[in-house]
Amino acid sequence: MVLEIGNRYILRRFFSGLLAFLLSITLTFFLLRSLPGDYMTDLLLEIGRYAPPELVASFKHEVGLDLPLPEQYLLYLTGILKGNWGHSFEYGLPVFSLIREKLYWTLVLLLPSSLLSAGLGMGFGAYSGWKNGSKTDAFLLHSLVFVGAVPSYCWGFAGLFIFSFRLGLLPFGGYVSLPGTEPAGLFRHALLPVLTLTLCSVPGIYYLMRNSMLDTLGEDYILAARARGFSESRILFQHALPNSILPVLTMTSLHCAHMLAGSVFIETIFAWPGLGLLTYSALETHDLPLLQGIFLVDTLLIIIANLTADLLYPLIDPRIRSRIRGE
Amino acid sequence: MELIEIKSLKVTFPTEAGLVRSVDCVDLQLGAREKLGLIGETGSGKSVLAHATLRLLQPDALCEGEILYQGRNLLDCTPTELRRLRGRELALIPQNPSRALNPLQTVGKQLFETLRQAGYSKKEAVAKMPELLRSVGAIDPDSWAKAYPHECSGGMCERIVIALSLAFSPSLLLADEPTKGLDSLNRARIITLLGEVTENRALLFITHDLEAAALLCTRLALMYAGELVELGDKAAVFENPLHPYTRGLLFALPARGMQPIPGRSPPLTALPDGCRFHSRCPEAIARCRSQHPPLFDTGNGHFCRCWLYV
Amino acid sequence: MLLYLLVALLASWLAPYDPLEISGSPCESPGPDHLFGTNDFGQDLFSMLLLGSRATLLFGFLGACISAGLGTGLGVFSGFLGGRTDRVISGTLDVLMTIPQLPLLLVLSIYLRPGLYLLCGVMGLLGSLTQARIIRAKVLSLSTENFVYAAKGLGLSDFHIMFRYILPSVFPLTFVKFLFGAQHYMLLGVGLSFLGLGDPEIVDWGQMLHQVYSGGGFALGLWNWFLPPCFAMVGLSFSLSLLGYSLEPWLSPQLRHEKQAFFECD
Repeated sequence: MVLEIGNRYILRRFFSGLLAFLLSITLTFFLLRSLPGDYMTDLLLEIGRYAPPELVASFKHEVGLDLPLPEQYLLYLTGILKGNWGHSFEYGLPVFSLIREKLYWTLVLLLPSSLLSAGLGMGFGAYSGWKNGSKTDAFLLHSLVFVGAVPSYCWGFAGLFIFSFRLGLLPFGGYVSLPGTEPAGLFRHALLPVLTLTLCSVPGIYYLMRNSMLDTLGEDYILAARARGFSESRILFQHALPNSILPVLTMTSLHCAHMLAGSVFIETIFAWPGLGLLTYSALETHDLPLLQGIFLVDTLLIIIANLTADLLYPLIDPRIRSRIRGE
Repeated sequence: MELIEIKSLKVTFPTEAGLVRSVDCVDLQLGAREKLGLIGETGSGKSVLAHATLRLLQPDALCEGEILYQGRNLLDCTPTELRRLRGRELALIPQNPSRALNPLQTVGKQLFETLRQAGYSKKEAVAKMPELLRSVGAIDPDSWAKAYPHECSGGMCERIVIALSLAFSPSLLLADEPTKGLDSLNRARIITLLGEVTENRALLFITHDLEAAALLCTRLALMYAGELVELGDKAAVFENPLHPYTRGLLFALPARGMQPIPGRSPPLTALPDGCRFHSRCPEAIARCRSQHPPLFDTGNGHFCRCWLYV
Repeated sequence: MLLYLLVALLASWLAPYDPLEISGSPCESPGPDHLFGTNDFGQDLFSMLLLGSRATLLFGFLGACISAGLGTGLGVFSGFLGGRTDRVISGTLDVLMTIPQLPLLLVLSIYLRPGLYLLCGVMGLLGSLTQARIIRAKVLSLSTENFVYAAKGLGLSDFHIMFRYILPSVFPLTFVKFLFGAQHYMLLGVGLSFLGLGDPEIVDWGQMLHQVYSGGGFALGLWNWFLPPCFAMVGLSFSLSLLGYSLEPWLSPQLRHEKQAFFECD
């Protein structure tokens, strides 16, 4: 099936994603260079105070700082592609491995909440659009506009306040990943952050889905299907739903990718040992290489989400399939 | 007995601009196997009439009057009863055929679903499909069945939509502007096809295309601004048009001089007093401005809503 | 809804009954002297809240102004001129929009600290990308309409058409986007200063939340410390989004599909 789509389409999508990633890399490169003073002034100041100048020079040589700028850029680029993302100022560890470890814990939060919010958002949105004008629709619309207007950190605070402080049902966060932590503990710790993340991204998806459903219901083929005496549930599942999900697809996948960035607030509030908390501590300690690494990961994830949606489209929509074939 | 009888049907839509009176006191009868052409310009309420007959209007539309199908009032039917009637007894050929097909399913799949809906078993449905497609003029039914709607031309879509409506073998076919947007060759083909497939059933042919209606129908009804203005046999309407609007339409035909009617039809939210056509009517008299004319019977089943025929 | 905004604006001038200096003992409970009590330095929380509204509102509206203004300009330019200009601009936008904004902001914040307003400028700049795209789509559909053709036929200059014909028709869209933008940037601004990126000299709601967080106010359950700014945020944001939604119906439907950009998880 995928082969049928045509390789040029995939290639072009892939290329545009690559371009964006390259741009991000270039940006981080120049930001690094333009740091007041030198490449790692912060670090070198510390070392430079005690270390003899030869050592500083040799260190600079090792990192490639004595090379002309274009060559430095090339070095940096190949380094990134090889997985050498620099070293964290604060931890002194390679950024790449640091991020890889934390990303795992972030994904533990992100995957369930992505699935949940996509499912709930689309489900509610479709139902609301289908029952447009009913009381349920009005209730869902108003309450979700409200939910969407409340920032994620406020929901986080509210969750903590109610469930952890007042009711004492759930822990305050601060999950520590010990080897062999029992799944129950993980679940108890992850529950609030996952719910908060979900709560914050449901309204956006809901609103899109509802509008898309409303648009679809105005289409002639829905009317025609009714005229043929099809049952309402058949019209919904066979005609309305597949067609209205289409335009929401890209946005939903992007939404889930954006949740990674949004998790900074949530993970900070719940002290979840993932990428978001890492971002927070990197911000506190001005750990630029680490921040840039996180930034690159975010970019990558969004590109991947974009690509996934782009690849899913032709599988579902025959119109796009034949447009691609026609190219 | 008449197959379908529409009695003083009124359809109104509440909007922000006021109440839209789309269909106003329309009375129509259609016998079994009778072919009636419903003619009017865009916004005259002819499509609304068709949708009202199938009860397909949006929920906020208000319908008054009666639509009797074999003596049963459709406006009183429950949703389940309606569903049983739709398609099976009353089939609609919707406007814009290319948009009346689900873009994500192949033509074959949609036909199959419809045939299943019509009560055929899976095997029967598969067997019936090529036959049905051939009956609407497909030479290679298999390739048609495999196509997606966006791959079909306008004429092809029209044929497929007709095939879909024939899947049930309904007793009344409501064709909503089936010749719209087709080139003259395809238009002629579709008209011929419609004539063939309605040999044994009634047809309500909704169009603004007078010539097409003349080819297909035995009786013609003209609508203007939501109401019937003239109703009569085809020959009578063509040779002896009574209403000034009908005359205007006939003179606007290419064969008869192509003289357009001046002005435009009134907005349905603010209909004028008196005759709704008076501002555009070359023969208007003082009475037309103040008094709304009823539908006069001029004999031989020829009706006209004009003060000239008191 | 608007009333809320006005009150917030005026209150910052009229009501601060204590400056942000220490005015009581640390961690006081709410009482007649200090309506919401005090924080761990003994600063009055109520006046912090009132004063904070100024910074937060300014932040939101400044960001929205920049993004709406710049985005509209760029969008009109790109959409109306078309041709190569359009292709270059929209191609660049496409690529730039892939870059996640919040992480970029965080990276840049290292350079721009402690200038919250500078940050706000950058934010507006980034936001204008989305805005430009939406406006461009609108302008493209407008360009095919008869009145623009007519204006062209009359021999009016491109700039004249852009300002006299296109801009007024695009304005409602810009305005609604401006409202949603203001909401978004306020939340983002508070979020950023919650992460400790704010200017310690300027009190805003995010700063208050940051203090609660780093001061361990949650574990102690000092609701009088973190609930007021939270509620203030919620009220403001909700009123803005209600305003936006209520204005939306008289706009073109295309806005709906692009709305998500402002729904990102803050």
